[in-house]
Amino acid sequence: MEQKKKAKLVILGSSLLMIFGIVAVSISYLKEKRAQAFEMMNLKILERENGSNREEKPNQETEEILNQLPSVDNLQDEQENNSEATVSSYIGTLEIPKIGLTKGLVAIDSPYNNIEYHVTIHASSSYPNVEGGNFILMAHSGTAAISFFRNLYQLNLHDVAYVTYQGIKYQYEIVNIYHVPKNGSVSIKRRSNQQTLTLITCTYEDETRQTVYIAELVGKEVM
Amino acid sequence: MKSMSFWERILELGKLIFSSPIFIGLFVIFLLIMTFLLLNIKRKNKIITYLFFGTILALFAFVLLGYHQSILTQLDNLIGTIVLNVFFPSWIVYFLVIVISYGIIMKTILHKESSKLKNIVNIVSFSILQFLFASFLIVVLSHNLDLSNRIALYARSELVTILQFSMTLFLIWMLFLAGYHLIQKISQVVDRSSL
Repeated sequence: MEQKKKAKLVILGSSLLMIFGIVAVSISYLKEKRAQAFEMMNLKILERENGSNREEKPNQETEEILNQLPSVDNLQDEQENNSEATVSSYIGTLEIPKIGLTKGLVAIDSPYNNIEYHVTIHASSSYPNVEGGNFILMAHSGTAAISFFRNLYQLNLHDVAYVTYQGIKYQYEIVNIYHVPKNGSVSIKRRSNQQTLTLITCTYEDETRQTVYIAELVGKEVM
Repeated sequence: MKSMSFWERILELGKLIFSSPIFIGLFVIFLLIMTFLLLNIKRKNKIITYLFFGTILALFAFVLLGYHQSILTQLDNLIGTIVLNVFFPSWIVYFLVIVISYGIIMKTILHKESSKLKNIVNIVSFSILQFLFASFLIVVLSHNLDLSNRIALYARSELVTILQFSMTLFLIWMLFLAGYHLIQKISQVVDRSSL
C-alpha cells in the first residue's frame, strides 16, 4: 500500500512538474498573443468608431521637451506589473509598413497613454489634424513586449509612416533622423510651417542616446 | 466564385490530383493504404497494421520537414485565433461554452458516483456561468445589439466584462476537470500495475 501511494505521488508530482514547465515556457508567448488579440480588437473598434468628434488640442510648437525614456534594462520588472491588456478606446493608429508596425493610439489624457502600455502621445503634442502642428510619439526600443519601436532603427530617410485620426489617413515621409544624448530633454528640429510627425525612441544598441525621426506630411486621404 | 455542380467538383479535384507529381504520389499512397487495409480486414495481418502506421508517420515527417516554416506559421495563427476566442469569443463560441456547461451539469446530476468536490465545482461553475449568460442576453436584447457583429458587442464594456469573466471561469473549470481526470487515470494505472 505504501509503495502504491509513493508511486502515485511520484507520477503525479512528475506530471505536475511537466505541466508547470510547459506553462512556464509558453507563458510569455501566450501573453504576447493576448496583447495581439487586444490590439486587434481595439483597432477594429477604432475602425468602427472612426469619424467621431474629438476635442482638439490647441496648436503648440515646442523646441524643447522634458523627456526621459526609461532604459530597457528597467523594463523587465515593470513589464510584469504592467502586462494588463485593456480594451480601451483608440483614437487613432500609427502604421509603418516598412517595419510591419501597426499600433493603436489612446488619447493624450488617457491613463493608458503611457510608455508602459502603448505608443505614447507626448503631453505637449498636437493632434495630426492641427495645421503646422507636431504629432509626437514615443515608445521603447529594445526586446521587451512593450518595445513597440524595437524596429524603428531600420527606418531611413524617405520612408513612409501613416497616422489615422478622426477618419483621415495622414501620410508622412521621414526627412530627418538624428540622435540626441539621453539627458532628460530632446530637441526637436523641424520646419515650423510643416505638419510633422515626430517619433522618439532609445537609440538601437546604445543606452546613452535617443533617436528622433522627423517626418513631414505629404498627403492625406479620407477613410 | 460560382456554385459548382457535383461533377464539376469531381473534375476540379481530378485536375488538382494530376496537377503535380506530389499530388499524384499522395493519391497513389493513400489508394494503396486503402487497398491494403481493406484486404487486411479478414486476414488481420499485424505487419500491414504496422506498415500503415509507419506510412502515416513517414508522410507526416515528410510534410513537417518540407513545410515546417509554413506549419509553424499556421500553428502560430491557430494559437492566435484560439487566444482571440478566449478573450473575445464570438457568440457561437460563447453559445458552445454554455451548451458544454449544460452537458457537464446533466452528467453531474445523472451520474451519482462522482466525487463531492467535483460535483461542488461543477454546480458552482455552472450556476455562475448561467447567471452571466442571462446577464449577457439581457444587455444584448435591451440594447438591440447584433450578435453576429463581434465589434459592436465588444464596444460595450459591460459585455466585455461578462464575456471575459465567463470565458476565464470556463477555462479554469475545464482545467480543473482535466486535472481531476488525469489524477484519476494515474491512480487507476498505478493500481492496475501493482495488482
